[in-house]
Amino acid sequence: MVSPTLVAPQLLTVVLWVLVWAAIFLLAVTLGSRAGRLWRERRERQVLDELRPAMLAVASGEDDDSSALGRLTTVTHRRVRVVDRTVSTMLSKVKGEPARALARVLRAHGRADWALRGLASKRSIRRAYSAWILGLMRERESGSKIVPLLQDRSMDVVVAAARALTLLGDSKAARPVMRAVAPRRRPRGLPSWVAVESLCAFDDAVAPVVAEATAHPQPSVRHVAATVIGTRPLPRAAPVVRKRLAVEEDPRTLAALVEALGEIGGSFDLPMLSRFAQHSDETVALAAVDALEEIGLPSSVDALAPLVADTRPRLSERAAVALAELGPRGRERLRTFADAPGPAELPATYALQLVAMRSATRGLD
Amino acid sequence: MDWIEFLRAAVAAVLAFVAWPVLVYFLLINTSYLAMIVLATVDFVSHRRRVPFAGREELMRSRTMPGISVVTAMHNEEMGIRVAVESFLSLQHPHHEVIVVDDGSTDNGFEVLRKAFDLVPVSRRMPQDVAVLEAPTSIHVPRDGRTRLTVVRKANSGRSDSVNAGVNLAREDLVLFVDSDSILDPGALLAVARPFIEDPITTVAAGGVIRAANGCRVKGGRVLDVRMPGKPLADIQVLEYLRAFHLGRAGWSRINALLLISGAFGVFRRDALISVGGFDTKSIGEDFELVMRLHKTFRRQRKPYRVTFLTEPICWTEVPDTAPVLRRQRSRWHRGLWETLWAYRGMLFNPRYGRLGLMAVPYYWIFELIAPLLELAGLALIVLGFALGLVSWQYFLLFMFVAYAYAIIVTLAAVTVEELSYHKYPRWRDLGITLIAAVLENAGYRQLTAWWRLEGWFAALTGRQQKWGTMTRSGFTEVDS
Repeated sequence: MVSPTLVAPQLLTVVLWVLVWAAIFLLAVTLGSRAGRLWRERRERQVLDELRPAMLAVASGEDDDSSALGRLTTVTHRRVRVVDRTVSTMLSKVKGEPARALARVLRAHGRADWALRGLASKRSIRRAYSAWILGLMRERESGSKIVPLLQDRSMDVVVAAARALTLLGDSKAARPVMRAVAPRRRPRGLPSWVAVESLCAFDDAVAPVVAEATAHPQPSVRHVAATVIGTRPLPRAAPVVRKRLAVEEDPRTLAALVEALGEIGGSFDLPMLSRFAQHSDETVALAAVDALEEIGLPSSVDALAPLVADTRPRLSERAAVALAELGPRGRERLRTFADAPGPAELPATYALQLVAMRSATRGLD
Repeated sequence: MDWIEFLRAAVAAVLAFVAWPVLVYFLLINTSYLAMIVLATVDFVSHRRRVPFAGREELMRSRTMPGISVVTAMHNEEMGIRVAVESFLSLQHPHHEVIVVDDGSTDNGFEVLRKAFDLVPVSRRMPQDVAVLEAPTSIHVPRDGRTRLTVVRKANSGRSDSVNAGVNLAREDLVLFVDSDSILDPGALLAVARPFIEDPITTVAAGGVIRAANGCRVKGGRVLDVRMPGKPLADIQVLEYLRAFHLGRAGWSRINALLLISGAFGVFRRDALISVGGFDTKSIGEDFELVMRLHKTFRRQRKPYRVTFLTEPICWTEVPDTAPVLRRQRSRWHRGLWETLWAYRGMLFNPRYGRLGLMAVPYYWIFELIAPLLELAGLALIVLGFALGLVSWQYFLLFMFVAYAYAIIVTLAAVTVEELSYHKYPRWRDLGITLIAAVLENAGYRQLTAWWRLEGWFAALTGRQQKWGTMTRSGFTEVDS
């Protein structure tokens, strides 16, 4: 009855058996994985229930007689892994003496040597975790060994290395961190925010590196530099920022530079920021309004006032709210706008409404 | 009878001609799903590995975190809107605002919000960055002037137009679209903002994982206990969401060819969104159309950009658990797929669009659009061959088992990846339901949804007007404590 021209039944049978075995394999992996995970979790819970008081005593700095520390450093081999993982998590949240005490637990378990060896491991997860552990333990002398990992082929390793260097706070790593943002050999670089947090954690010696990076050919690097200048902030970089503002082409970086100038600039910069508030890219223009408010000088009011009548509603509203935030003089200007029909009337009214509502709930006039 | 003999001969000839191609098609489509799952697994593994040193806590404190405008449209949702807005406002993020656009509700939805948040009208100039069909009639903010909530009222003009109105009022750099009946995990905003602070220059959009909330225990707009729905239709959709929406899109994102960000949960850079004109109010598949337009615009302008996908499960939504509602949904989705693919047919096999033009768009044509047609045609032929005595029942069963066993394997692979990575369903019972659903999906559900998808396609080709119908929801399982 079977048509001989259809797919041969023997072939279908073989394929079916292969699929059945594949299904059995996947089922076994799924069930085994769940059973194993639940077993591990239960065991870890038991260990932690027993040792939690000691861990908390060390992490809170209340282990005056070092008895808790002694208990954690002498746990049995089977418990070391659980203790180390929990201590590592705690280490990322504490500083000072408790952090040093927790690091001593890891050191007693041989984690420092393990991590140093792991930096050269073939497994990327081992390299990443090793770098991170060294950072958590604040092993400052390991910084020079972690730096090369910023050029690692695995992004996980690069991120872990950068974050470890952030914890170590060694500004000698600033240039490699900046270089990792736009690596030559990888399509994607160090995530921007990780680089910014690193460069903000280092001391002021990073200033020349950051200033230099504002002229980097890659916009991602320039953006990191501009963000660092505004976030740290780095007032010494103001001349560089002013210079870059004239030539920057990437709108996101331009906005970051404008914001940075708001943080580090002064009255001298108000005319330039006013010009950027007229920029055709709204992101840049809004950054300029924020910068004018951030500078917070009495003359900022004069710079912001004309912007309330801007044809772009979002910009005019932001300028009006900024004026309201600048105190009585700004609000006086807003009242003038609100009383006169024109493009500035509605944004000014809205900003004054907000001020009134906030004052009412604050119980102030 | 002559005509039966003629039919037998015709079916035998067609069967002989299509048996191999249909089997190869099944093989290819399931292998492509499997390939996507493997690609996504790389991302999942990387994500899980990075957790200890990824700095999730530091993200919240990061000074580089951009502001987010959470935009949601509501239409006659008085029952759940207060809880939804409260949960959106309480999401972890240093600087976010919530914009609710009341799309001409005829119930008491607005009154519920007015009372809950003490809303007062304000005078604001509405930006016209994106064209809207219906302009807002009033804008309201909480009386304290601090709670970052804006409620906009306007005449009914549909979800896309309402969301566009929300985009116009958005003040932050990023705009997040979320359905008002969806539930976000507390850290959802931090997670979705992550790609934008990792690569602020080129990231323009990011999609998030959407999972079925049916059966989950919910309190105050938060999912407390993840469970399988326990209703066959919804159970199967849990798997479908996991396989196609979660792992599939993660796989496409891995090779930089993501074409779809769900309108129920997606985040866009405001300037990029405005530069392409926001949602197309005439499109049925408005979310798909928007991402295609983003790709086309940025490629044509030769601007570097990235559309990415987050693998963390952070958004929960109710999936249809009745056949009529599911039918409307699938019909609409497929119609939207066809209309968008047709509108952007110029991208098909066009090397100008790189991997999108040469891989992703052809894939959507061959394996998403045509799949239900080929699947049902193949099924009809083999059933006809069996009925006409051209194939024995043993062969018929063998053919069907092989055809669907691979599909079951793919689903099992997705379940395995979920178990090895996020393992969101902790109960053994739920795992059991998942495994049963993986098999049941192929015994009726798959064929039925293929038929509904064809209905949607046919309706589009014949120019029938799309009837939206009502997405009847059963509501979440609220717990007292």
